[in-house]
Order: sequence, then structure tokens, then C-alpha cells
Amino acid sequence: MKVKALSRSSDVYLPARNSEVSRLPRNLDPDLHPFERAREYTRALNATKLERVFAAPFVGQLGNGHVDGVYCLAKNMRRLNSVASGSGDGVIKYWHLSSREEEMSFTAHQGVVKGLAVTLEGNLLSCGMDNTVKLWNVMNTDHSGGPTKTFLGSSGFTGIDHHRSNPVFVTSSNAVQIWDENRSKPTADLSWGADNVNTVKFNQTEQSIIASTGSDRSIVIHDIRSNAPVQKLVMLMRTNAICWNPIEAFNFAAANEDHNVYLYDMRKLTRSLNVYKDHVSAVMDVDFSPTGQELATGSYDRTLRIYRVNEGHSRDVYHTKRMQRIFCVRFTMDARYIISGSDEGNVRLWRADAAARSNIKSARERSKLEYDAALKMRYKAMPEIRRISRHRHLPKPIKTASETKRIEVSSIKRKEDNMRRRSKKGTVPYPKEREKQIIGVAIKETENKV
Amino acid sequence: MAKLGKLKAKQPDIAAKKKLEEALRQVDDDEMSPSDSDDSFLAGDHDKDGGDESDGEGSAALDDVDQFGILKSAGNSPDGTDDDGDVADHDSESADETPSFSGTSDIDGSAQGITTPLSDIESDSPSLEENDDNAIRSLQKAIDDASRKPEEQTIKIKKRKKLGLPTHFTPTVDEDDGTFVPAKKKVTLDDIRAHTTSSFGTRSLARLDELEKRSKGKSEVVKSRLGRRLEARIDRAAAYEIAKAEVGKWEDTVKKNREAEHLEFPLQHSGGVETSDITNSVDADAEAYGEKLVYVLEDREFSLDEVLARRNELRRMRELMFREEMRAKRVKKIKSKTYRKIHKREKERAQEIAAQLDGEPEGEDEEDYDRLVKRARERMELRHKNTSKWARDVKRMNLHKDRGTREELEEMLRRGEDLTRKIEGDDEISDGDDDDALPSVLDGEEEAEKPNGIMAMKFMKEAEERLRKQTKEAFEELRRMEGGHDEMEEQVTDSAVKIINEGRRQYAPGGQEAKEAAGDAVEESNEADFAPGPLGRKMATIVVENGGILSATSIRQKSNRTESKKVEPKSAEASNPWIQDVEPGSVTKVHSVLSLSKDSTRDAKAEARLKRARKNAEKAANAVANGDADVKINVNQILQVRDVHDDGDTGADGFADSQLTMVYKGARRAKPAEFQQRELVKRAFAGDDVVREFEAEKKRTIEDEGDKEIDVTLPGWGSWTGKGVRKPQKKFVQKIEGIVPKNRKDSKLKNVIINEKAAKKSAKYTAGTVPFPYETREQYERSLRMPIGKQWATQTTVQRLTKPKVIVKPGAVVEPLSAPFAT
Repeated sequence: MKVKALSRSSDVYLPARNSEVSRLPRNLDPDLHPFERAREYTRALNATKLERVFAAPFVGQLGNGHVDGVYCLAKNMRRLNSVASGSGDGVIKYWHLSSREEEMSFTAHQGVVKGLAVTLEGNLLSCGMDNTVKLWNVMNTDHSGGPTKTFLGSSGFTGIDHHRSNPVFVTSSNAVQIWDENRSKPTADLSWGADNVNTVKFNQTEQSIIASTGSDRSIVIHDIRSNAPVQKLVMLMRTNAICWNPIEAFNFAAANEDHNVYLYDMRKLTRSLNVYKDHVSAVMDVDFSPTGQELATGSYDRTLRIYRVNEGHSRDVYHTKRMQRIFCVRFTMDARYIISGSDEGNVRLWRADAAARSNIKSARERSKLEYDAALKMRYKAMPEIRRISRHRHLPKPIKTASETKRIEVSSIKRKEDNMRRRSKKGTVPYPKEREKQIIGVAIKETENKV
Repeated sequence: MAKLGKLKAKQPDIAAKKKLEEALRQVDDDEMSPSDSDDSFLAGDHDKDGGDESDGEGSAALDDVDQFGILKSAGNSPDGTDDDGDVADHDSESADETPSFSGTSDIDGSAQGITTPLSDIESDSPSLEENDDNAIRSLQKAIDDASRKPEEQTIKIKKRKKLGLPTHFTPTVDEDDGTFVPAKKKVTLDDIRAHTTSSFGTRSLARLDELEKRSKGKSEVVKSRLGRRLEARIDRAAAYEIAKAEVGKWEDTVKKNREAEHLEFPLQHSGGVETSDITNSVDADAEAYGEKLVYVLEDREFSLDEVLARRNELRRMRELMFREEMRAKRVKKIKSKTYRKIHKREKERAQEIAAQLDGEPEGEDEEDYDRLVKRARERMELRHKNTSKWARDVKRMNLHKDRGTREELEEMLRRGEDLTRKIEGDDEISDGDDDDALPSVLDGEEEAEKPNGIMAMKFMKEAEERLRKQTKEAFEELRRMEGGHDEMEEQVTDSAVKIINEGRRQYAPGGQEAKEAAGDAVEESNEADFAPGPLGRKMATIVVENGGILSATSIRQKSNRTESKKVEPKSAEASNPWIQDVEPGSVTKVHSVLSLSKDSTRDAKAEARLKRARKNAEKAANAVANGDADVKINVNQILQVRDVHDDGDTGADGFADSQLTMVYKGARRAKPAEFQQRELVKRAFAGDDVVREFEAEKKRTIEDEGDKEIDVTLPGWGSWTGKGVRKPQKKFVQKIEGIVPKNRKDSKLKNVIINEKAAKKSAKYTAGTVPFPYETREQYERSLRMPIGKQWATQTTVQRLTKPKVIVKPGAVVEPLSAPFAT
């Protein structure tokens, strides 16, 4: 008996390697693959379920954490695996992310460390309530001799940020001050109004723009080219933190005391671009993913949430039993992990995508994951898939709080509706969700466009 | 800072102003000295000024200049001291500030005080685009200097204003003695001019005139410096504009990134290492960038694609060589002598060809001839059969679907046939036959060939005949089908005159029933027809379906073919209902089935019916003419069949009797143009008793979805036979609860049927709403239609469809974007 082997012309087929087993050709005859939609739906459903099965967001904590609460974090924008954290007892710790071990630890300030920033050389700038900004050489592990440099201010500092390409940094205290690394006195004062400035952030893309938030519920945009504050926005409640979008120069997110995060365009502050809801307490910190596609927020309600930039509700919520109020959150520079510092003194490392694993994958595995992701995306509106992918377990206090909040909000809405119904048409307008938190801006459109 | 351009433009003015100051100082020295004592109430104010006044004279003079400006501004109101109100708007504020200009105050400041009105600053600021830092700084400095203004002074002046006292030194010139007296009258240029006796300062005055003219062109009011806060605010507004413009440069990049199908991070290739050396100057950076670019261009001779292509090519060659080698090894092992013999010849031939190609002299003619003969034979044998390699390939690879190839193949086969015929010595068949690829089925006579052999035997002939008949029938049927008739219709046609109209197509069960009912009616009528109709009577049948297709054939065996053919063209004309021209003798349409025959009683009946119908039609026509006609679909009113008798031409021969003339009875004759559309609509929906059908359907639905009782009694179950056995009373009835008719959602909606059955099973696979990016259900459905798995698409397609939108290179630092943005 003669066995006929499958053969193919080398004109149409070329093995990738001589040793490679020839690939099984697929028959694309649709009759052989019926019920494509039903099958793909099932695959999507299974992929969704598997995603929930494999979701393990918490990687671990860094070292043994701090003794006091962690109130500030700084990441090196040019390196992946180093992070510094500052705690309430004035101690700064420098962490190695790959090993999750402490690299060095030193007492930097008397009282709480309020801000950390990384200089161009990779050194660390810290500021505290003891009226000093200190520069630390991170190459040198022994800091018993004190900092490399100390900058003295007139009052306690609340925040610090470094310019992306110049040896210039900005601090917030009772004023917004620009400092040169090589000079001991601030080079400029850009304050506008507020008694106390909470935080200050350089725009990393359009590098001369600074945003600061004041205790007078304001957000102020400064420009170091004209050495002046240029625009001020006043909101109903205080803004706790600000983060500029790394790929969209004019957009920034502001974490507000009113449980929401707002996305603003600095060119048009009369309306927020998006409102990120879901937290049930003040949002303490916000950070953009380096890809600019996601936001991580840490809140006083002891949860960490991740939002997609163009959606209004969180795509994931992280919490542990032991984690207390979160005061600082940072994405790592490869957009895969999130670091959080909380009140109980631990620095935690989370996966940005809970079900993702960072091991090396075969091409087959990778293509499978991509296919699954595409299917999940495609069928995400199907009720069952939606339910499964959205389901999260929440701690009871947060669950109750969100229930209460929902009831409160709906009650307010109902009252407004009643008012609207009983008053003359048009006298009680519908408040715009993206504008109602804004009290006003200093420089109005009309003022410039006369 | 936005006023920078403006300020630059004003430079000549400033120079002129310097001169003016000097001139005025001179004037003061000459003539205004006595008035110094009069402005005593402002003296204190002056003292409290910047405190850097060098000499009293100069400052006084300058003050006058300022005063002058103010007075001009006051000139707008009837009263120079008129208070604008308590509100500290910028007018009053500017008025307050004026005296604060000191003798040594900045030129810029004074220039602005005199020449630049507030409205200018504000209106021009957004349009200015210069952003020179130095200029901005100098401007700021100027503003700061200018606004160093004691508060007390303002308060004082305000107080004075309240009291109605003059707030400023407003000297007037007494015409008689040439001295200044404090008065409310304004000082004008003419006043000054009147007192410049010498030629000294005339140039300045001329310049001043010019300035005045210019300022008059814009506004009468010359405003002075603004309040510090306002200044700062305007500054900020301008700076904000600049910052906005700067940051707005990113817009295109942002848009591009947002619209991108895929974003691969890091977007920019500058790694973290490169940016570490940022202390370099911008120029150095630019240079380095250029160098890097050049280096990159020099280094890369091939693009990645090119390299890949080259590598693939090399690999392919290697692969081929390897295969050849393996083949050679295998062949080498063959021990068969025959194989060797054959292959020897082949090898020789190959060598020969190679030699020929190399240009070596050819062999003998004989060999050539032989080869030609061989080739010819081969052609004869293979080329013209579909067994050649080419033909086989064509068949195998389905290339015959390609038209050109197919024609070639056919041509080849035909040639082959010809050749075979030639070889067999049979040249009778003409070339004309060749044109028909397929032998005609119908021309049976032409096909008649002299059968021989077994084919000449009788039974074979008969069988062939039968076969031919069958084929012919089949062919005819096919042709008919092509013409739009179907078999059923044909069958119906055979029986009687039937005019069936089903109206619109219906998919509901009700529709089907109606159709069946109609079918029944037809059958009944057939029976009725056949009963009284004398046998062998000529009858014509007309079937009208869907208002369009008409066919008439005679059922009589002896029917005249020509007659039927006569009818047919009409039917063809009438095939389109919308362009159907209604004329006597064309189509008729009746809801119920009519049958016609020559039977006299029938005729009488028909006539009676006709009359009634005509009456109705007239009524309808009147109604339409009155404009109150409603287009109701009632075919009985519109169309009717009229017998030939009515027209009075009684056909002598049988067939003429059966000729049908169909008269259109609508109001067409009355107003043809107006009613054409109506008629068309009526006709299109003829036979639709929509309302009744709908009601029936609703009733049926209510019944279907309502409570149901099903008798599930099994016959014989629990029953006993025999004497004295009672019949079991109990019936087994199963109750299925449905929806009570009262509770139906459509119970009060007359014209609506709401389906109460929720599709529970499909709900699981149905999205509640159309998800975000899609706008309509169709869009969303379309997006789900094509599967993306590898079972249904090629690998490249799958890869393209499943490529994630955001790809982050593992282990890479994703830095924020930096200008210039180039991926």
C-alpha cells in the first residue's frame, strides 16, 4: 500500500526553521466551523471568568514598611525599579522594587516628610514641615552626615516637584516658590491668593507649566516663563492632588475632597472634561499611568481605584483588610504596577492589571491572551459577561457607604426635581455634572476675547 | 506683556513726550510760576509720592502734564469734578492714581499714562503674540513702579470727591493778566499755545497736536495707569493666553494619539539614558540630535523589511538546495535499468536544449523533422484533450471559473473534437454547429442521425424517444420558470378562469390560512364551472396573481395555438403592474374567483353583477370628484370582468367567445391624471382586507397567549368495558396559564398587537442597550457579525483583529512626551 503524504510547494510555504514541525493548515471552509458567534461568545465568557479567577492584584508590600504613616512617594522618571517613600516620623526610605527590599533608610526631617522629588541626577529632594528642603545623594547609603544640601524656607513645606529637564524645582508652602538647585534662595515667588498651598506639580510635557492647589479650594496654573500665575480655578471643595497627563500636555486630573477626580483642560477650566466617581471618601492622591490611558487614585476610604481615562467609573478597586487611608499612589514607569502608601505605614505594590502576569510568554500564549482580550472587548455589553467582569468584592464599610451615598444623591436629585416641577419652567436648571463643582475662574473667556 | 508690541510701537511717541516735558517745563518756568502756591492742597500728596522727586519744578511741570491728561478725560463729562460714583471702577481709579506720577517716574509709565487708554490694552491684548520675556519683565517692573501709590492720597481724593471739591489741580489762565487761577475750566492745547510766545517748543507743540489728533481718532478719553490688581490681572490674562497657545501646540499630537488604532509605548525613542544629560544647552541638544540622525541614516543601509526579505530569500534558496540534494540522494539509489534508460534520454534532451540555448549549431534536419512530427502527434494526442497537463491543472485549480481560461479550454476541446472527426474521416458536420457550446435540446429533428448497431434496435429507439420527450418537457418547464411562472400556477391555469390575488405576502400563520382558503375557493369554483359547462366548450383561463402576471392558455386540446400566442404578448405587456395600461380587453382583477363561460344563465348573472358594479363605480367616481373619497382597498368596486356580449360583438367562432375583455371601471375616464396614482395604489393593495385580517390575527394572538386547557385524556385509560361499568366522568384536563385578555398591554389599543411573550432565552445573549461607541443597533450588530477567531480568518487577519490598542514594551520606561514630538 502506498501512503500519500501531504506535500506542499515551497513556493507557497516556507518553514520558519528547518527543524520546525510543519504547521497544521486550517480549513477555512465555514461549513466546518458553524455557530461562530455562539462559540466566540462562549469563549469570551470563559475568558472573562478566567480573568476573574486569575485576578490577584496585590503583589506584596515593600520591605517592612515604615513605622509611621506613609505620606509621600516619589518615583524616578528614568528608572523602573527605584521608589522613595517618606513617612510621618521624618524617615525616608529608598526601595528596590525588583527585590521589594529596602535599599536605605534615614531620618530626613523633624516631623512629617511632606514631599519627595527626584532630581535629574537621580538624587532625592525632600521637604518637610521643618521649613527645610533637603537634597540627598542616593548613591551614598550613609546619611549620618546629613544631606548634600539644605534649602531653608520661611515656613513649612507641603509639596515639592522637580522640573523635567532643568535643575529647577518648585515648592509649595504658604507660597509657590521656584528654586534653583545651585542657589540657596528661591528665584521666584508665584503665589496667588491662597494662604496655604497644598501641592504643586510640574507639567512633564509642557515643561514650564506648573499647577498648584491651595487651601482656598483653588487650582492655580503657573508659568515659569513669565514667572507668574496665569489662571485660577476655584471649586466647591479642596483639591488634594494633581497629576498632569503625560501624553496630553494640557490635561490634568485633580483629586478632590468631594470624592471625585476631575479631568481638566488647562485652556478651558470652566468645565471639566470628565468626572471620575466611585470613591466614597476624599480622594487623596491621583496618578496617571505613563501611557496616559489610565488613572490610579488613592482615597481616604481605604481603597485604591483604577479608572480608564475616558470612562467615568472605576474599572477596578483594590483593598486589603489591613490597608488604611491611602495618602499617595504612583504608577511605575512601565505602567504595569502601582505603588501605594497608606496611613498604617506600609508601601504596597499592586498590579495595574489584576489578572496580568509579567512572565515571558510563548507566542501561542500571547496570541491566545490577545484573542481573549479582543473577545472580551467585543462582547463586554452582553449581560452575563458584564456582570462577571464588573463584579468586585468590597469591604462592608465601603459597600454600605456607597449605598448610603447613592441614596443621598438620589434624594438630592429627587428634591431638585420636585423643586423644578413646582417652579416656573426654566428657573431651576439642571446642574451640569461636569460643571457644578466649579465656582469660577479668575480669567474668563470673555475677558480675553473682547 | 501682551502690550509689548504696542509699547514698541509707541517708542517714537515716548521720545516726543520727553521733548514735550522739557517744553512744558520751560513754559512753567516762564509763566506758570505764580500758580505754584495754588496747588497747595495737593502739595502734601506730592510729598507722599515715590519720594524720589529731584526738583520741585520738574515735578510740578510733570504734574501739569498729568493734570492735562486728566482734564482731557474729564472733558467728557460736563463737570470736571463730577464724581463717577463711589464704585471704584477703573476710571475713577485711574483718576486717583494720576498724581502719583513723579518727575522721575519711568518713561514707559508716563507714556502709557498719556497715550495708552485702557480700552486699547484690553482689546489688543489677545491679538498680540509676542512673548519676549525681557519685555514682559520690564513691563512688570514698570507696572510695579507705577503702582507704588500711597493709599492715603486716594482716600483723600475720594473724600474730596464726596464733598464735591475739585480733586485735582485745575488751573485756568486768566486772559487779562496771564496768570493762572484755579478753576474748573479745562486746560486745552490752545491755552498752552496762547502762552508760548517764543518759537521755542513749537515743534513739541506740533507733535502734541499730532498726538491729540491721533488720540481723538480712537477715543476722546485718555486714560492713565490702572490699579495694581487690575494690571496684574491683565498681565495674567495675557500670560494665560500665551501659555494656552504654547500648550495648544500639542493638540495635533494629542489628536493623533487619540485617534491612533494602536499605541505602542514608549511612543518616543529617546530612552531614559539619553535624557539624563539635560544640562546641555538647547543648541548642543539640537546638534546632538542632528548628529544622531545622520549616524542613524548612515548606519542603516537596509530597512528592516529589506533585511527580512533578504533573509527569507536566502532561506528559501537553502531550502530548495537541500531538497534537491535529498532528491539526488534518493535518485542515486534507484537501481532500475528502465528508469535509467528513460532518464538517460531525458538527460540527453536536456543537454541538447542547453546546448541550443548556448548557441551551438543545430543537429540534422532529420532530427528536427522527427521532433516536429513527434510534437504534432503529441499535440494531436494530448493538447486537444482535457488530459494535458495544462488542462488538468486548469481543472484541478478551478481555473475554469475564469472566463478567459474557460473559453480557451472549450476552444481546445472543440478543436480536439474536430481533429478526432477528421481522423475518423467524418467531416459532415458544419462549422456552424461549433458555435453552440451546448447542443440544443429542442431541435430533435435536426439531431436525427442514422442510428446503427444497438441503437438501431426498436426498444433503444423508443427509449431514446422517451428520453428526448422528457428532456423537452423539462426544458420547457425550465423556460416557463424563467418566464416567472411556476408549476402550481400552471396547474391552476389548466382548470378554469381564475383570478387569484393574495395581496401582500404574509408570513403570519393567518396569511397562510387565507391563502389556503383562497385555494379552496378556486377549487370549488372549478367544480362549479365544470358542472354546468358543456363539455368541450371553449374556455379561456386567465389567472391574475399579484395584480401583475397574466397568462392565458386554452385548456382545450384542440386549442388554436396561434390564438393563445395572441394572448401572450398582452400578458407580457401587463407584467408590470405600475406601468400597466388599462384598456378594454386587458387585465381584470377580482377579489373572489370569477369564472366565465358561455353559459347563458351565467352571462345573465354576470351582467347583473356588472350593472351593480358599474353603479358602485359611478358612486365612487362622484365621491372622488367631490374630494371626499377615501382610498379603500376594495377590488370589487374597482375592477370587473365584462363579457364580450356586453360589447355587442358576439363572436361566431368559439374562441372569440372566450375572449375576455376587461373593463376598468374606476373613475378614470372622468379625471384620468388625478386618479392614476390612487388607482395604482388601490390596485397594488387589491385584495387586502387588512383590517379584518389584523383583527383576526389579534384575536388569534390573544387566544394563543391566553389561558389554555388541554385535554390530556388518554383514550381507554381508566375505562373498563363490560356490563354495568359506568363511563368515567373525569376528564384529564391540563391548564396552562397564559395572559388574561384584560391584562394584556394592548387590551385598550385597538390597532396594536403587543407580544407578551418575553424571549427569556435570548435575553441572555442580548445587550440591554446599544453600547457606547455604536449609535444604532444595526451598527452594533454589524460589529459582531464577523468572527475574529483563527477558525474563521487567516492568521494575518486574526493578528490584525486581535492586536491590542495599547502595547507597552515590557521593561521599558515610558517617559512623558517631549517636544519635538516625532515617533
